[in-house]
Amino acid sequence: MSDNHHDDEHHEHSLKPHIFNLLALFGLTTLTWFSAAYLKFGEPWDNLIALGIAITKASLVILIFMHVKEATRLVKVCAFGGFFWIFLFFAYLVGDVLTRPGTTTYEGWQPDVRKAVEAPIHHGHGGGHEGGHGHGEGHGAGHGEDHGHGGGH
Amino acid sequence: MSQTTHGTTAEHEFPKEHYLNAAHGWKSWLLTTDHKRICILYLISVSVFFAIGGMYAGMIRLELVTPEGDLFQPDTYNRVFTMHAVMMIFFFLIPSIPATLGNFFIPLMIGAKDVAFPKLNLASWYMYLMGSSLALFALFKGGVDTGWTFYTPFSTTYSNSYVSTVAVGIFINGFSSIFTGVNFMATIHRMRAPGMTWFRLPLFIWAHYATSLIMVLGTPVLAITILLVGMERLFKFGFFDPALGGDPVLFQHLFWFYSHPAVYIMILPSMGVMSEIIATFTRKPIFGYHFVAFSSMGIAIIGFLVWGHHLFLSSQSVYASLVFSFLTMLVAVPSAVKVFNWGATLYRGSIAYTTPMFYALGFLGLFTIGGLTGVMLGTLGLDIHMHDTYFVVAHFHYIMVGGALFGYLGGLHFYWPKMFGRSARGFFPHLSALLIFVGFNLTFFPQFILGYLGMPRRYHVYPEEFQVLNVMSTAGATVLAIGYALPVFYMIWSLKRGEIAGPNPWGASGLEWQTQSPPILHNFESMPVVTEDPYTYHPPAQEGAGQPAAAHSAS
Amino acid sequence: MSSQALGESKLHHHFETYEQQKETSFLGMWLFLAQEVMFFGGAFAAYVNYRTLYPEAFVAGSQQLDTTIGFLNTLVLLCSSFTMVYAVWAAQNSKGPKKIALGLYGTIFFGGIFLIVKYFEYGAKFAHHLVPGYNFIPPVQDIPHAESTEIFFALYFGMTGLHALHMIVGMGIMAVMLFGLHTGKSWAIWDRKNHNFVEGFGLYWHFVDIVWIFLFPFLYLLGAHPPSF
Ligand SMILES: [Cu+2]
Repeated sequence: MSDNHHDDEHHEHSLKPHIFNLLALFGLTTLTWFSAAYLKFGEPWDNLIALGIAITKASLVILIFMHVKEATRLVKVCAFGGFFWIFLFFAYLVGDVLTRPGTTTYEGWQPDVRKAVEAPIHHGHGGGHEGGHGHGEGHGAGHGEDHGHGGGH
Repeated sequence: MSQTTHGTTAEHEFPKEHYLNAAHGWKSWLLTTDHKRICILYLISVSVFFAIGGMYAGMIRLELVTPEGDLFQPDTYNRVFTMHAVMMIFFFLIPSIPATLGNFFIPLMIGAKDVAFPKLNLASWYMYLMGSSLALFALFKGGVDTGWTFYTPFSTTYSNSYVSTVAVGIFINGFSSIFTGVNFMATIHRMRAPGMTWFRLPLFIWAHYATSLIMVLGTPVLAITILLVGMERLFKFGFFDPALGGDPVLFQHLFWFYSHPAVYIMILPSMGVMSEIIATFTRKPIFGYHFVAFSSMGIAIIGFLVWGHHLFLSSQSVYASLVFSFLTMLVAVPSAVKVFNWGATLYRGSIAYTTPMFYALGFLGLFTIGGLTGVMLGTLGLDIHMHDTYFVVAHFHYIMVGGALFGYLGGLHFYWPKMFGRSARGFFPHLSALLIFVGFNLTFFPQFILGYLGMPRRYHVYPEEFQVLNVMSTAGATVLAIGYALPVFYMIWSLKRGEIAGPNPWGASGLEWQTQSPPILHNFESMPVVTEDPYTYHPPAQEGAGQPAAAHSAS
Repeated sequence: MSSQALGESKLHHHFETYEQQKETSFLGMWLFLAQEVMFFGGAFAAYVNYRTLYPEAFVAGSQQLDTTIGFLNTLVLLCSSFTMVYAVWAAQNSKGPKKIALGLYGTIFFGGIFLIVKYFEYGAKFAHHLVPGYNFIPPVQDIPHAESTEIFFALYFGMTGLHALHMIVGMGIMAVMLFGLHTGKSWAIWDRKNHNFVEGFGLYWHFVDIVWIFLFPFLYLLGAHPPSF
């Protein structure tokens, strides 16, 4: 028992890296908040910055607060494997959503589901409306915006 | 071979001390943390749910004897087939092999005293009990009519049955599965005996490792899906209902992200059992051990990425369908690797036709049929024709009964003497295996034809021209029922009257056969040390090297 | 190992060494956390799905949330993670039950502040007719799929609610741990040999923090354009 005791004394853990880590996390949080609330970089960049900072913060928590930096390879695989696995799910999911008929562009996509359900109830000419929309899809989904407005109000 | 084992068993005495008499009273069972006792708790409970699920199957087959709907109202029929599936899938097939045989034999096979987290193991059984009781409660109140897939928006908005109750039951039961998975993975990583390297692990362990991976990574997605459905039902949050702006296809993505891999939760452990049985009764190491081991992992990993083949007709994008169709074909490769390797193991083996081996041989044929029809269904064009027909029903019953259940029954017969110290063998086990094989094929092969001819699933009436095949199917189900009923009698009988098995009645290799039957509380008298590869069967000429397993098989 | 001195941490019977016990316990915890990632991941998948479908509605929804409150609350939660680290550090280095308890009290304190703030945020949603399925009125009308802002708020309540639930469970566990520490229960003796429970719980708490680290940008920041600058 006493040997063990002696052994452990050698690597007494320090709080210092955790304090620095906390400060880094504070800094990154401030940065992401400030950048989102007061700086504008345009459409994809704002989101990419926010996500990038979130991933960095999460990694810091995992590596330092959760001691994964010093952990075995197995623990490292467990710690990041879950994220990787759910990311695969996101990739396939978004891949499907973006390539469904009528979902080719960011702005131009129209959710047909609501209309499909409501149209026959509210309007007698619901069927005709649907048909017209179907045509629009064939020609290019980017120009279908007005349909959404019409349905909404 | 049967005479060899016969000769040796006479010498054995039933051990004085073992895990079954290590403690007494109901408390020693309900509060046990011994993995072997938890196996028995699970064994009893899953058998109950198998019987309930089987009763519902009987009701379905009875209704379908005639084309008219003379036994049930359409709505009642919906409830009957839903409860059949819910009971069989969530409360029997998923826990069946891992929670019983896996629980008992993973620590024994790797030379550990127990699983990594014994209390978590017991908690998992209580989770199962709570979940299944809720489902039973819902059943008595009138059941669910959504189909086991709980497709939205029917399940969230329109169904007036006990969807929420069963959903909560499945949610809780999911945690039993997650606990089991976490426990097994930690056990296999950290509790192996000295010398038990990864490539000395029996293939049963590899299969359970892969299964646990799916349990840990897949089940939580089902849990959150159920939670979202629950929120939609309770608070009218429009997650999946198109009338509220939701996307029902999202539900199907989430649901099948778990539920396709769940098929592998059912089949992988069964494949593990097959490797053990085939190696034992051919007296040969499994051909291509590494390939079989890695194919388990391959199935688990690729199996996660094929879920979209359930959405071919659900307005999923064509491009996504193409990818999913391709990956579905790909997952057939590791499955085929296994079948070919087992086939190659049989080649020139000294095959003993015992009851477990009957199941193993049955498995090989039936799983191949089930797997290949799965590839047919994964083909984009063909699936449009076969979608939601009896072809699909037949396909997955070939996998789940011909595959998973055959593994379970085969494994139960194989490991029974180790678990209870007495053998159940002879005429009745053989007869039961034969009846199940014949009954199963008679039940489900006609359904392939029915489905191909266009009979849709989930209807209680059908055109008259389908009657002959349906009557055949029901006749088969009757034979199957007799086959299932037999083991109840001879296995219980064997607990008292069966011949005393001794440590290694089959002459198998592996650590689990080196301790007494039934094992002592802590499994081994002293920590075993492993010095050999798995499935090391010495040819008779080199006998007598002091290997107890080999000594038995030779005499 | 058989004669375990009073006041020393426990080695369970089915393990051979403290080292094995420790590694097993962490592996189990990490596997459980991988499970949690998939659990929350399913909800994030729903978010990703609907954000891809209704980007404008989600931007409109984001703008209804107060980024400053979200920001300050993130800092509070990070503080609670740090106090948790302190508790683990105290256990790891045999600093005694008092210091472990101090870390836990700090964690409960910061966690409590976070939840109280969350409570007022929820209250504001009820007041502003932003509760889906209850009193929802789309906050912005002149965008495509304005009604789908409701899904944003369904996800907002669902995901932050689940997160808060995890925190409440965590605080319950901490209460039990503190009870054990104060009454000197044998399972609550944590030192450099066996501090697995504290460290394992710490992992759980940090994980809850990570969920929020993602929830904050996903709900508050993505598309949170300020009125003007
Ligand atoms: Cu599938």
